[in-house]
Amino acid sequence: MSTTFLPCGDYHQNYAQEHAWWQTKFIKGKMILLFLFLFVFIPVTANSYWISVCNMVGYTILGALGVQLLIGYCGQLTLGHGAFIAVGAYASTLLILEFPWPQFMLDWGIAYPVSVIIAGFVAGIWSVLFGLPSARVKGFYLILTTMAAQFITVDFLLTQYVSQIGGRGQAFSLPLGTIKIGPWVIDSDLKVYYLMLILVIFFCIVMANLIRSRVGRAWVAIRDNDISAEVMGINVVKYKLLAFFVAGFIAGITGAFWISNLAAISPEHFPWFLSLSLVGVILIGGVSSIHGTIFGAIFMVVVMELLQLAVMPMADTYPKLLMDFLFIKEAAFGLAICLFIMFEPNGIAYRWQQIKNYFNLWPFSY
Amino acid sequence: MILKINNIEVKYHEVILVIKGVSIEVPDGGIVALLGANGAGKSTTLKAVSGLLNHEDGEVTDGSIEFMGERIDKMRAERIARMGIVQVIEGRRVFEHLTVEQNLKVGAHMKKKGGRSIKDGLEMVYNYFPRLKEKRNEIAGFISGGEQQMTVVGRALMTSPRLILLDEPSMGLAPLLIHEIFNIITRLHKDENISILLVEQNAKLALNVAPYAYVMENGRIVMNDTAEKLRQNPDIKDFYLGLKDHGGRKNFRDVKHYKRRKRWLT
Repeated sequence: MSTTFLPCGDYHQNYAQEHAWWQTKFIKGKMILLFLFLFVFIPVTANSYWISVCNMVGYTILGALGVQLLIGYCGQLTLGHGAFIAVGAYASTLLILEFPWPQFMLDWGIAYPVSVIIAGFVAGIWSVLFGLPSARVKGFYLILTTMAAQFITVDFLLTQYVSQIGGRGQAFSLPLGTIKIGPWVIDSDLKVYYLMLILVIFFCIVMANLIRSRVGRAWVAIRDNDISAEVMGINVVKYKLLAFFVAGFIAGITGAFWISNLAAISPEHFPWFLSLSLVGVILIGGVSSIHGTIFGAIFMVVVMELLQLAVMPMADTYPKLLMDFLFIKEAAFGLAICLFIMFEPNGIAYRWQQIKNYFNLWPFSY
Repeated sequence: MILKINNIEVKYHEVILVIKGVSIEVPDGGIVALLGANGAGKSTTLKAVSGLLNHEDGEVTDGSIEFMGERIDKMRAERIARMGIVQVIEGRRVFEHLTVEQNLKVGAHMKKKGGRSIKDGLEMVYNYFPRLKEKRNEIAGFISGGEQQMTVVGRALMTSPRLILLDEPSMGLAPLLIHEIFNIITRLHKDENISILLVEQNAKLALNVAPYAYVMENGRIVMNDTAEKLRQNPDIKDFYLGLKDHGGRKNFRDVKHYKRRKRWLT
C-alpha cells in the first residue's frame, strides 16, 4: 500500500473533498471513458470468444474479492474459498430446479434473483462455520482448516450426497431459459457479460466502501495488530467471523451468478485448484487493494488465454503439447507467482499506483 | 480510587509465578508511576489490568482487580476497554497499513451514543499533537518512531478513556521527544481529568510527572511513597536515579556495590 498523491496544484479545501471518490475532473473523465469502454466498446467489438473470456475475468474478480477481503484486509489466510463458490452455485441450482416455486414466480423470473440472494446467505453461513477456528488459530494453521472446507464441502458433501438429489447422477443440467431475471432471459454470453459487469461494479463499490467504514478499519486493525485492536475495544472474534460471512456471501453470489454461464454444474467445476488460483490472483494483483483483485484476475485469465492461443498453432507439429496443456497452464501459473513474488512483491496494483503517482506529481516528482 | 489492585498473583503457563501479591491503587484523576528493573513484572501487571494475559497463556490466579468498584480480573480485554481502560502497549504498535488519521479513527471504534463525535475527537488529538495533523494522511508504518508513539497515545485518547495504562512511552525515543510527549501527558491529565498508570524505566522522568510511585522488584512491590519522598530515599537514588548519596552521578565501579545492596532490598 502506498499513498496516492494528488496532481500538482490540486489541493483539498475541506474534509468532504478529501473523502470524495472521484477527486479531480481528470479522474471523472477517465472513469466515464472506462464505463463507455466496458458497456459499449467491448460488447460491440468483441466476438463471442472474447466475451466469454471477459466473463471468466469477471467471475475471477468476484471470487477473488472475497479472498482479498479475508487475506488482504482481515489477514485470515484461506485456501478453501472455492468451496463457498460451490455452495453458492449448488444452493442456487437446487433452489431453481427442485424448489416448488409457484408458477407466477417462474413466469415473472423472480426465482433466479431470489435464489441468488439465498445462495449468498447459505454460503455466508457455511463460511462462518469454517471460519470458527480462526478464533483460536492463526496463519498456517488456519490455512489447513480452510482447506478442510474445500475437501469436506466439495469432495465429500457435494460429490457424495448433494449430487444424488433428484437422481440425476453427477451433474445438474440447467435447461436454457431457466435462468431469467424478470423478463430478461440470460441465454447468451453477452447477457452474462452484462450481468457480470453489474455484479462486479456493485461488489467493488460495496467492498471499497466497507473498507473505508468503521468495520473495514476494524478488519485492517485486526490484520495489522490483533492485540492492539483488542485493546481498542474491537471484538476480534466477531469481526473475524463477520469477514468470513461477507467473503462467503460474495462467494455464494459468485457461484450463483456463474451457473448462468454453465449448461450444467458438477463438482469438477470447483476443484481445489480454483481456491488456490484465487489466492494466486490476489498475490499477482496486489494484496489489500481492490485494484489488485481486478488486475490479478485480468492477468490470470488473459495471460492463460494468450498462452493457449500461442500453444495451439504449435499443436499441429507437437501433438503432445495439446495433450499436456493443463500441465503447461499450471506450470505457467506457478512461474508467474514465483516471478511476481521475486520481482514485484506488492503486485500489479502497486506498480499501477507508482505510474499514477509519477504522472500526478509530474514535473516535480521529489 | 478508580483502580484497585488487591494482592494479585499472576501465573504464566500455569507454573511460572510472575506476580507475587501486588497491590496498587490509582486515585481518581491521579498519575501513578510504576518503576522497576527489567523483568520485575511491570508490564505483566498492566496486562493483568487490561486483560491481555490470555494472549500469553497467563492468568490472574489470586486476588482481585477492581475498576470503579467492579471486578474486572476475569473479563475479556475488549469488555475492559469498553469500561474505559485503555492500554498503550509498549513498542509503538500502530496499525502500520492505515494512515495516521485512520489509526485515530480505529480508536473511536467503540464510540458511545451521545458521546463526542469522531470529528471533535480528532480535533482534540490534533490539538495536543499538532505534528500528527501534518502527517495525518501518511501511512503510519512509514512515519518516525516519535510520531508513531504520538499516534498510539492519540489513538488511546480517541477511546475517551477514564484510565490510561501507559507502558514505556519513552522507549527508544530521543530525549527531546520524550520531554515533548511527557509534557503532553501531564497536560492531558490536567485538562481531560484522565487517570494514568505509568510504567517507565526512566525513573527520574517518571518521578517528575507522577506524584505517587510504586517500585517493583521480582514480582513484588518493595516500596511505595510519594515521589518527593522516593526521590530522597537513598536506595532509589542508588538504584534508579543513579545518584550518589551526596548527589553526584554514579560511577561504573559502583555496580558491584549495587548488586550486593539489591539482594538486601528484595
